[in-house]
Amino acid sequence: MSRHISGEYDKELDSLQSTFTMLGGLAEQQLDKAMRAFLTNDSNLAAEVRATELQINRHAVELDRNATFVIARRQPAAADLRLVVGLLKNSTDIERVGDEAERIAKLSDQVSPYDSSRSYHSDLTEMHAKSSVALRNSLDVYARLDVENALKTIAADREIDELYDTVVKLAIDEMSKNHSTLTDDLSIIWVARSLERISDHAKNICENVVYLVHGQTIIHNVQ
Amino acid sequence: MNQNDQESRDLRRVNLDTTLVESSETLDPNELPDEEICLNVSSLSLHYGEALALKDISMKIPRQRVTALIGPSGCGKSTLIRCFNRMNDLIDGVRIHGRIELDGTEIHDRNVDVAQLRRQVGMVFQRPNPFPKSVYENVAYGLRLTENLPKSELDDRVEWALKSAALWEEMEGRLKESALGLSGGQQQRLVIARAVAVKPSVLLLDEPASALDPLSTLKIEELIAQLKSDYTIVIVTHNMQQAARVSDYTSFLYLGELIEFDSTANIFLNPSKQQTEDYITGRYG
Repeated sequence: MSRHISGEYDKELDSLQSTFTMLGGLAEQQLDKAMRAFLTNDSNLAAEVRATELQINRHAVELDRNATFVIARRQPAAADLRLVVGLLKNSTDIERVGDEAERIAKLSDQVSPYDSSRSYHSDLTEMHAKSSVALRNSLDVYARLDVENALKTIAADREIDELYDTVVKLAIDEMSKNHSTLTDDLSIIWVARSLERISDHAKNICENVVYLVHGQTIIHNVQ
Repeated sequence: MNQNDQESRDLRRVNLDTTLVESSETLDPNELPDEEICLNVSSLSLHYGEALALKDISMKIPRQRVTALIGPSGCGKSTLIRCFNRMNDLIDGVRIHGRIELDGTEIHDRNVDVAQLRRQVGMVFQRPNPFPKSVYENVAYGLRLTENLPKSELDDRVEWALKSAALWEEMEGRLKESALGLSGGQQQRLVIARAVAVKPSVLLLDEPASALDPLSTLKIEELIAQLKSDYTIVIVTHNMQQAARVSDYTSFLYLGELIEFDSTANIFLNPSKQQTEDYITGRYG
């Protein structure tokens, strides 16, 4: 799209985009570190995640404030308005991805060292991998305004939902067999739930890409 | 603007192969039933001498709605609005082709009484132009010319018109004062009262608030919202936010062509044409 007559307006929109890109990058790192902290029982890494969460919140607040100011100052219309509204929505999603990552990191301090011999291990690691890909794809399609891949990422969310159901079922089976690991198995359900939510946030960002490009809202959970 | 930019994107036709949440906004003006159309413009072209000012314009202006005409200076929006009550007839060298039907009647027909047409299609200009007479006489002036009303009925009609223009409370005790002593915003509402006094069906507003301060502008916009339940309103404005605030439908004109005409929501949230998008987002000179 061509530049505005007002170069200052372009700079303001570019600045919002840059802040979001940085936020997205931080959220990706948070998810990666949180899962590593959980799977390897690394309390230092978990502490790092908690510290970074503060930064994400600060940047998200800054993005919201600046986007609101652009609305007040420029009264954007059409694609510009959709961009700013989309950024406000995306900012909330990314901030919540950070919250979920922090939740996973906190769990790593509360449970026994992770046991990779448990029945849910392969499904949980697959869920982690797919959630990370979904998050990365959502940021990528947003940067490229790539509707085709946004729709693919939205469709892939179903696989993560199915994995979530499987992990929960296996964790419940483990709990019923061995009461001594109840807390650890329960934490797996919480981790899986966080991963599932992260994937939902990635899906929301992809839906915003469709809104931004076509000006139309697609129904949540559409396949 | 390059050729690609000028091509219609018509994104609403894109098949996303998924379910879309359809907007329940105002109907496409081209899909309105005939009885809801007040002014029907077909293939309208206008020349000033050799210069082509309006090019083959067709649009259906809905009844009792506000339709805004936007576009850069010189795009033809004032020329177009002046076609609706044949104000352009007063300009030498003007040639008009095409049709404009008001409630089904072609306004250029020989048997159309132009003075009657202008009573039916009232007009308010950018600068308030009250007569150098009292507030009362300004409103009563047109009525005296067109209707032979007894004094008491004339008084009632003046009061009604001033109330319609949201001016009665301010003017009730000042009816004999000179209209020239009113503020700009009051003068403009007085001019609107003068226009509605003769009970037109259409009000044409050519940048009615561009010479007013922000508060007076808001009063005029509020008045437009109230008047649309009784009148078909066509407004020319340079202020795009004003078009977004007050109108139900918006048309974008450029170099004498009607680029896009749609519900105001569609124009300002998701226009079909790249030229419209560029104009309303400030990417256009």
